[in-house]
Amino acid sequence: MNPLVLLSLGIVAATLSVARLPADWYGWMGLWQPQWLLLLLMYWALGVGSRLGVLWAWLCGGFVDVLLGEPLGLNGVVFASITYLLLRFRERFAMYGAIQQALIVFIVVMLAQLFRGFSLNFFANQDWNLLPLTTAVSSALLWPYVYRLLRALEPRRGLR
Amino acid sequence: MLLGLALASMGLATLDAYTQHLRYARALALQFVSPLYFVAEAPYMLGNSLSKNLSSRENLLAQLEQQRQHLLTLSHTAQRYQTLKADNDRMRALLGSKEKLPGSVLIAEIVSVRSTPSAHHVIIDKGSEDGLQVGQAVLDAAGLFGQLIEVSGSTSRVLLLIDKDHAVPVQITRNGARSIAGGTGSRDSLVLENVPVSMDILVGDLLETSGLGGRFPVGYPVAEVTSVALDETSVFAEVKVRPLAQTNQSRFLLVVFTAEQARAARLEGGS
Repeated sequence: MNPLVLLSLGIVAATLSVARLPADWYGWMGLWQPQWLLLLLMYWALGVGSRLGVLWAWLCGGFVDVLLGEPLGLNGVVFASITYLLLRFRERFAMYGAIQQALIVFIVVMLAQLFRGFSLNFFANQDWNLLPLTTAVSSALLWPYVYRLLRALEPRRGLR
Repeated sequence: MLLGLALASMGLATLDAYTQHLRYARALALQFVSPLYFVAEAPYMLGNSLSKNLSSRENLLAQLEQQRQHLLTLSHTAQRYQTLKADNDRMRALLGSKEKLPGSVLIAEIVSVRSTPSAHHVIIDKGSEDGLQVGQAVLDAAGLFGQLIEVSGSTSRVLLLIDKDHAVPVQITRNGARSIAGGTGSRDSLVLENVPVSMDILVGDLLETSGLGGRFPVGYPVAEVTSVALDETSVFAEVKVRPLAQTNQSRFLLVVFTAEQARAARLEGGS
């Protein structure tokens, strides 16, 4: 994918991840916010990830840490691990159908959120909550659509 | 590679959480990402300006009338405040103690809110260019709102007093009994820590900052006591208080400069 398109998608995802819900929605929708950045990262790792690799994912994570006000390095290690895993199992993942892919996304997002919850509990004294489960469900449900949308943005070269 | 990055992350997170060494790097990165907050908040700003432009004349007139009356009450209080302050200063001079220097305030607007069930931050549109420093107290119209934990060039991050990580030394306005009010993560309650059962505290008591600890200036309202439960088996009373600040409604905040901080900011601006 064109790096500029990718960058602007990254900016959109980052903006969505700090966007605020109206106060009266917050109670029920705050828990279900999809993890746009993780979805984009997973798509990216499936596509061009091999050229840029885990180091870039880690660096981007650093900015996300600052954006979300979390301990530095936390999102870096999450991003890097996800990129590593997807690079490792890329061919197999690409073979899967939409439901299987969504299931994998569910597991990956939940593990990532669990790890974040654990670290925030350790470094920032925050409570555990239901976010790992709920955001993983909403992210997994959105994955097929996100995948198709990003796929449509891909320039078509030759035969596919 | 991955292992190295994981180790680096752990090192960074530890440094970040327990020391101040990374403050500058964070401030720089915050400056870099802060446009995103403005973009994310744009729908609200647009909505606000629309409703400002489209509200009816009667509405505006009613609002104006209401504010005029409010101003009148306030100016009445302010007049009394002047005499009271003069009185107070004289008394303090008689007692030989230092005069309480009034601080100045800076008005800031919230540009982004980050609330997960346990973490409560907001981003405001003022930063070190306006003389802000980490640790300054932040108020809203009703009471203490939080404190600055991260300051970049043009934006800063405020930790709300309801965050689990936040605690503020308080005293009861009525009798000066001291305690510490810690955040619980919930919007409508703080918890008073280690209140002995013998302490004179009643439902409805007002809590204000005590100024102990040196971070918050003394005398700003913080919370109101909503329940006091005495358990015979415990040496501590369980006291619940409600923060006065409108943590989910305020749009404009006041950043407090104590006299020393104001002087430091002026010096910095002048040099």
